[in-house]
Amino acid sequence: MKLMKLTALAAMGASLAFAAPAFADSDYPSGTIKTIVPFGAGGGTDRWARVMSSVGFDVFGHGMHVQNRGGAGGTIGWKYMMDQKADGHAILMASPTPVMAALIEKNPPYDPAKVRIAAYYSVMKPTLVAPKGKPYSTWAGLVAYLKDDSNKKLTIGGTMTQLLGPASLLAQLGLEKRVILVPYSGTGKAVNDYLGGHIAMVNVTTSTAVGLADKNAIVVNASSLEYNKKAKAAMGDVPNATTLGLTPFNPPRFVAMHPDTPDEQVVAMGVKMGELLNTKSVKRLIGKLGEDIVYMDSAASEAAYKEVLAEAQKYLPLFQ
Amino acid sequence: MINMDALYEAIALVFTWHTLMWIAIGVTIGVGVGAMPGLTATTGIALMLPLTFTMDQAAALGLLIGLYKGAIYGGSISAISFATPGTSEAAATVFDGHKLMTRGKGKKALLIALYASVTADFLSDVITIMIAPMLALVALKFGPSERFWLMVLAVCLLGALSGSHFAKGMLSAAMGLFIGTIGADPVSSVPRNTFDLWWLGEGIHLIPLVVGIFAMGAMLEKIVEMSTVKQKVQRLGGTVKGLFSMGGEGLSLKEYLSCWKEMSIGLGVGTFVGMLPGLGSTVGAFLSYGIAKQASPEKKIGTGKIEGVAAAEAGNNATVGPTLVPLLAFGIPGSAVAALIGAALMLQGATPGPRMFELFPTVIYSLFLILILGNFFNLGIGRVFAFVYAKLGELPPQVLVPIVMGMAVIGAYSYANNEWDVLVMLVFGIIGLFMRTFRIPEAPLIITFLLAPQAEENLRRGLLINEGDWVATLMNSPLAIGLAIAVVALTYISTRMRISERMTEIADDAEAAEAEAKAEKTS
Repeated sequence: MKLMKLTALAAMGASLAFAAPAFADSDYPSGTIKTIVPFGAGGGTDRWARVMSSVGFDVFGHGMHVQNRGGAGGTIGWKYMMDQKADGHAILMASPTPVMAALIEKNPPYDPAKVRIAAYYSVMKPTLVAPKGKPYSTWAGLVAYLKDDSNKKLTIGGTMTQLLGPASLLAQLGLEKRVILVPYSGTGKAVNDYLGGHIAMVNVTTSTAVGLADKNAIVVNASSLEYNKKAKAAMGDVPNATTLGLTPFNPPRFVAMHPDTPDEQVVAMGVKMGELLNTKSVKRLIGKLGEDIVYMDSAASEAAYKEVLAEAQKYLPLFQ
Repeated sequence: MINMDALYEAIALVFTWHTLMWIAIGVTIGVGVGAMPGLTATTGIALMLPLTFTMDQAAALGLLIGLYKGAIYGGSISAISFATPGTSEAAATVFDGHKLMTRGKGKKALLIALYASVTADFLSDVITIMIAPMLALVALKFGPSERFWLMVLAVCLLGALSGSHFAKGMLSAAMGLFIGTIGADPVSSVPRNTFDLWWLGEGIHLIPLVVGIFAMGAMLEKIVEMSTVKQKVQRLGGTVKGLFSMGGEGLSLKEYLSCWKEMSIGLGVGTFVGMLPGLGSTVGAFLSYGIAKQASPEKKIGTGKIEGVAAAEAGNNATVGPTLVPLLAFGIPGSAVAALIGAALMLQGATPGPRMFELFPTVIYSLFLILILGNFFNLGIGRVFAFVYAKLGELPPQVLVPIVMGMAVIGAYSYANNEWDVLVMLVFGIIGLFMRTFRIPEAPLIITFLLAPQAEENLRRGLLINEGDWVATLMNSPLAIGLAIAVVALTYISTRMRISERMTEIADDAEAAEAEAKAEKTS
């Protein structure tokens, strides 16, 4: 099962990082880590990068220099990482956005499959929200509602990455044609339209869903991961893809490296990332931002990344 | 209902030397960041965010809000001094501000920019504090259909910016429309009009476009002038010495008060635009400027008038407080800056959302106090910057041109650390020079570039939601119908006004020619 697999991979990664730093090459890194954020300053990935870089010196013995290389859906930053030396001193703080941008592009500047993944540092949990008291306010209700052809199609808004979650779940049940996926360039705009009653449902991140849980129903979590305690307390029992027996969509936040980076440096970077995420200060700040740390080392995250890539390739045509 | 205990606690937190110092630092950094082309308020706040990790709540908010306010005003300083908008929202300030500067009235222009910014910012903050939840509910009424009509209405309102030659205005608008379509399709994200260049996948960024057309275009024009007209060589030593003198024509109270109408337009437009997600202060500035120009044709805004500077600056600064409305009322950040301030609040343990007033009243009151106080700091610190920049703008072109061109290149690059943006800026510099040479107005290009993609995005989204039904999309609600009627009425009225203005001009010309002929006969 996917949940068991992902949890096992995460646990394996955590044990490697927190208990076996001997994996790390003692001479590596030998200088500043160029930390490329493929988006402009101020977004979610940028915040992660800035929080993580605040303890970079303590972990690496050298600073993490955050560079925002935004543009073209994150492809400029990814391409910039590919143009750096494959010596392990340039990392990309990535999300599925540049992956999808490259998959959509006719002449992409890189192949998103050809990359080394040093670590996962988080996994988003695409969460579907609906107004309370509607026939589709629960997962079972939603499925029944969509199966009844006499009902109108339902509109679901959200960013493309977030929308892939419910899209994949509904496609597995053959119901993808009964919904209209409405892509937005940002979660804020989608939530605004949802609260104004212009779209029926909205798919958001956990922290946004927690804020909406008071007056709205939380329908499903399209990933295989459980919410943290605080989110559970706010949202109650929400089914996830695994509990529903469906293949999940686990959009990751990950540290990518040049495809020619030597294995030992990729592994060492993954281990160091684990140490970094385990520092008190990072845990505290990320917790306050309403995000969850989900760590996986290089081997585990490369395996999980392949699955995400396959899912994205399968369901992206739903938007075109 | 005001929670008095929380209010007293917030006053005690904010009115400390420590917090006041951070507000002052924030405003100082903000004005400097804003005055530097390419560096925006968002960049400045993102860079400062890690510094707040170890600060107390009031100091962290003071630094970030101060920086935000300073940066929005700071953009106008270089816009007026060098015709180089430091931020995109200051582009509308170039039209009148720089003309005043070239006439030796730079100090006057910078002061009205500062006073209009602070006045509108202060009043919009008060409106935000008084009726934030109500404003947020109004914002929710605007869905894809309503936003589409709002964009169309804005484009109609801005007809005044097309200048005296309608065809040239239309050409400029068509260029903006095409440039706005470059990049990912707003619904399917499939790239279009990218000439198969992958780096155009996300389209053209506003900053390189604005810096190219205004700053690089103006400097290229100066180079052409310098090479064709023999310049009188100015002595640099004397000019630098003059930088620190306090001379120059200031702004009288009467002149400040004479701009009340333009500041009111800026306040209204900026407050409204600020609370709607995704529009931003650049739209606020251009919209306010366009409406002010149309509302008072007798003031001849656009020919170097303080009223033009007041309208543009009031329009962009009035968005500052209302940008936070959706964040505070629903926990939804309506802009990148609001998202960063939301993150700062979360890091301080106060999650923005509908229950924020109930759960974190001290934080909310501290935020409100800092919003208000920041304006006074902006007033004092902004004046110091304004005087120095006013003098820098008087540097001889041999010195000024390379400095501004260097700033434009650095600014275009530093916006996203993207070398392609420098190329884009240079291309738009040449386009800007072409537009100046043939007297094609720049404003319609910027407006259609900003608004047309948003209109398309909302129309396409509306059609998607309504499964391709145009009537259901366009006439979705009474508000959408009302806006559509306003578009038709406005188009009809402005066309009639334009025709009658043109007829009067023709009649005046004929009368003048007749009088001239008579005078010739009698002599």
